[in-house]
Amino acid sequence: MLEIKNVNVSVNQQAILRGIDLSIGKGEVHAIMGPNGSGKSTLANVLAGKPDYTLDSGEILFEGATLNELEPEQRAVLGLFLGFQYPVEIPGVNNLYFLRSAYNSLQKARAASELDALDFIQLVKEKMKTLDMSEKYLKRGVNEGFSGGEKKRNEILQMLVLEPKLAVLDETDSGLDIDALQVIAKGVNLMRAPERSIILVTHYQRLLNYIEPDYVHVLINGKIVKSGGKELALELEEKGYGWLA
Amino acid sequence: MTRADSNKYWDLANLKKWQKQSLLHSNFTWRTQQDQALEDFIEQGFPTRKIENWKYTNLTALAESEFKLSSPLSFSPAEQASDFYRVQFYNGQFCGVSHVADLPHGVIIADLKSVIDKVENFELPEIYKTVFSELNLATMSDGVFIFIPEGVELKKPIHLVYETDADYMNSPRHIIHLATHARASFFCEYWGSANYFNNIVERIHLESRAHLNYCKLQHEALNSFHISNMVAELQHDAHLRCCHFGIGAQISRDDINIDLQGRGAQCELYGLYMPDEQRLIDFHTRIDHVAPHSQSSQLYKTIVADKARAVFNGKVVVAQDAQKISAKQKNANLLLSKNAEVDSKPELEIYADDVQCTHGATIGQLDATALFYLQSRGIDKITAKKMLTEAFAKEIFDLIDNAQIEKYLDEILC
Repeated sequence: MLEIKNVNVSVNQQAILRGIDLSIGKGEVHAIMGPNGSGKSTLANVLAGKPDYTLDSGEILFEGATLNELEPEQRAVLGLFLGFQYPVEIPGVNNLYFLRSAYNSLQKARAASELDALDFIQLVKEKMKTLDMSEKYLKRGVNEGFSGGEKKRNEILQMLVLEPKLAVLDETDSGLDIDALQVIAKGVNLMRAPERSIILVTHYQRLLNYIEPDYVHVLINGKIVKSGGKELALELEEKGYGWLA
Repeated sequence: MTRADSNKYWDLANLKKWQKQSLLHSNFTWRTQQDQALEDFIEQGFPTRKIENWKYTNLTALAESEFKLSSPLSFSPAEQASDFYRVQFYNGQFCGVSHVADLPHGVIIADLKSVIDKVENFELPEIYKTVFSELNLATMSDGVFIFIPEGVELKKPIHLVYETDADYMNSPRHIIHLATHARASFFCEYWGSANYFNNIVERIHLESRAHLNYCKLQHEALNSFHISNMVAELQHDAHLRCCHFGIGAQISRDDINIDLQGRGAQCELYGLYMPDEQRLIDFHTRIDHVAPHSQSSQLYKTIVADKARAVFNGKVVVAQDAQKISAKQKNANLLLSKNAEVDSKPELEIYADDVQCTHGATIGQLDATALFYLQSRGIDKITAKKMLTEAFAKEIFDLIDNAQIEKYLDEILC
């Protein structure tokens, strides 16, 4: 699904990622853990194609095709999704309108049929039930005035609607109480499928109690210093990151 | 240039010719006023950028232009079913008013000329003097005259369409008067094609508790000039909602002067300007809080593209006796290109001591993070920019208080 080969990235001329190699197979769930400032969010944003993040060297292959030069929307069309750590508030852009524009943009780019307003609202309402989300959030501006938890639910809602092949969830668990965490985990687990891969970027092992990863990687100072199975997360919980630095 | 004499077109002899054909020329009293106005105009000439009120706007292109005189038409537009009482002007000439038969008793919607002809000793309401209002008086052409009698509410909006498609100078004078408790919506629209010059003066008078919903749309030609002086006087508890939408002209300038003369008078001004190419939009407001308990609020936004420029100068003057007033002013600007420019200047002059006044201005670009967010969901960059730009404009569209006007603007601007 995804091959990251010796990727070096700098932001504002400061090296953040220093030679990342990572391979994600179809249907796998990978957790990327690490302390603050280790480069986890940078990796997530680079995959989504955030401008100003310079790929100094290396290559990112998605289903065999290089992503290096692609615009964010082209990556979305290929099937990539980034769940934002800090979802952006966009007053004046209605949430439902935004969701439908995104859905139909992807359908159009894939030469699939677009949905009209009535059919689309049926689809969204169904997905919202899974997330215990009130329909009032469709009427507001995108994330406008949403609490931290509501914003994260809205990210997961977008993922459920857009059905990506690869979802990169950046700190989706941060700032959530335990009930919200369970709802989010339920949404993510619903997305698990043999054809779909998920990357969870997180500080804590807590999320991994609800979404069991196949692999865990530790990122420190821009490098993956250790990879292992789900038991690695438990070890980190016990010992911290110090012993790996 | 202290005199408008670098171009023979603007000299006294030539303008005298214009004056002869102007609306008021047959009336001796007015002729004297016109002579005086013309002299004042010649004396002052076009304002230069050394004058504070014009520091951001260079009028050389206007001073170097020449225009033709419009001649009377024999043209009457077909009456069509409409959501509006439609008043049409074509190349400076009055064409007619639709649905006059439906008007409530006592309401007058007519051209100024016919009112002057009918009413003995008609007095032109005074307005403050600017170079351009003097030029307007000296060369006045026909405008609209609206009177709504006491207690009458006009259900349909009045729609003034002012279209020009040849190189004319038009100097319309519009007069709107709402008597006590009267209510009306007035929507004026200026547009055209050619190298013309509209020099407009509007005078609005609202008696106590009258309510006017005023809306102006100008989508003038790229090579045209649009200068407008609007003066509104509000008696006690009168209410003016005033919105401006515009694309602009080669040079476009609006001066809006509102006198809150009566206790509790209230005005809400809002507007959205979207100049592109090399257009210039210069927007000056001045609100005089003369009476106590008066209220004003202003919210103006501009979206400036290409090499266009926008100027906003909002002045609020609070007189010494005008206690307990509230004045809010906000100006937000969105630059869509590196070559676009905005100059924003709020001014407050407060002589009373128990007042609430706020002002603020912002200038920015589209939010890069929001743009990335939309793109990351598969929305292409051009569409994403359009969505964010419309989101910026939405706040102003949401303030339009009339469904027919909103629908019309939506069709023209979106």
